[in-house]
Amino acid sequence: MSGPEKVQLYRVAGRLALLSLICGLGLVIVHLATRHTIEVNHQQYAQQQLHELLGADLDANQVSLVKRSEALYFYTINLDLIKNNLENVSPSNLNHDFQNNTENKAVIESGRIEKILTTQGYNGDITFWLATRDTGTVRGVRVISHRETPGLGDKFDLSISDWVLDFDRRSLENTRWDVKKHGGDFDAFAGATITPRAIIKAIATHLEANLKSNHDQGASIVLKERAEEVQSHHE
Amino acid sequence: MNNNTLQGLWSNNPALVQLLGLCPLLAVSNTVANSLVLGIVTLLVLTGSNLIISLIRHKLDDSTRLPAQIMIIATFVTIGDLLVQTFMFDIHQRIGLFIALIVTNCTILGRAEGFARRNGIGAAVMDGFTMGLGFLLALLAMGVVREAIGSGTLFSQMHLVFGGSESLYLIRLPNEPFLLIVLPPGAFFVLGCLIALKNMIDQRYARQQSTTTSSPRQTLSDEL
Repeated sequence: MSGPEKVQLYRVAGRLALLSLICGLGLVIVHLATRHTIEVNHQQYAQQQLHELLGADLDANQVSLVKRSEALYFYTINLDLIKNNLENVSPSNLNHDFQNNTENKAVIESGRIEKILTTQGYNGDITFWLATRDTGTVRGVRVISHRETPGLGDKFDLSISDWVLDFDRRSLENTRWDVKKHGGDFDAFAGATITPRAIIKAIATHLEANLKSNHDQGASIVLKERAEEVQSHHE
Repeated sequence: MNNNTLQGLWSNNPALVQLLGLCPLLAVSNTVANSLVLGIVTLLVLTGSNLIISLIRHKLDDSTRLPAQIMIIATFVTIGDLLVQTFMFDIHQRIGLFIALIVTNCTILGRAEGFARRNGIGAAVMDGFTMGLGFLLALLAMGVVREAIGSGTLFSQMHLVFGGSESLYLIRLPNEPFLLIVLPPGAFFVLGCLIALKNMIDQRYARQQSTTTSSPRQTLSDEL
């Protein structure tokens, strides 16, 4: 390489480097200015999705939700009350009814909601809430964050399709945890199999892990601990 | 309205004539709210990138200009993406990936290459703005038609953009939702109809204008 060419090369490289530096600086400034708000937005969205899993009952005091960590919540729902409520209770005497009802006949559903992350998606990590009943069935699934292809791999979004509702009441015993194409029970998305499989597999793995840890620890201890926690939350 | 303005908005509209940036145009235009947000971000990115590229146009030569232009465009898009995440998070949850994809919108690089690097700052900004506005208007037209026919509503989820409650903006139309129009095939269908409509208006106008002098029909971009 001759001298002038080399100088030319350095000049080109220098200009591009300077431009990258300026662009990078601009991005750093905007990133720092928006970082906090975006983080808060993400948390709010996650909370909103979490509450959606428990339905509107959360507002009506029929659900208690206990936070163990950022990624683990325990819940109990008074199903009996919800049924009553639907049949004959008007909103005005709801609270009164609730207090009377708790002692005599409580049909309670309890379970846990965990934040699960799978790296098996088509494009980066998928994070979702998984709510499982203590009986081992799934209560619901809501995706919190993902970068799957819009219109193709994002059918787990409730505003786009009902796919995610299909997990309700599924358990390790009653379900083959894969998409239909691979001999399972779940629909795949048209043109996108990787995304649904990532979610399905992650849930199945998790249910297995839950089952195992329950056996290992002795379920009674966990339950007792949980009962105390719920108690203290009520007081 | 001078000739340049008219170019971006009508005779050389990036979406309807140049047929550039079709990926976001087709994918996002299923509601007015989505169209509006993507259109505005595109408009701002296009204006900003045209400004900066025009500003440094004398420093760019053949070996540096493409990477430099892409870097500037990508920077603006990323800033836009962060701002949408900050102020319109719910919209970002729905169309977030398409905002990032604005980088690959040929309209923007096309204007950088075709106009901004050869023209002064004022003209470049004006060009970016009118081309962006033309794209935004085409996107909005798509959004209005697809939402009205496909969902039977107008301005749904507009509150995610402007705040307040949805009922402030939402208009329910009497027609039954025709789902196909919201789905991807419907996007092609509506775009085809819009282009046909535009060409029809052009032809009628040309016929009225010149029974004596015949002007060649312009179907493709004069630059491409």
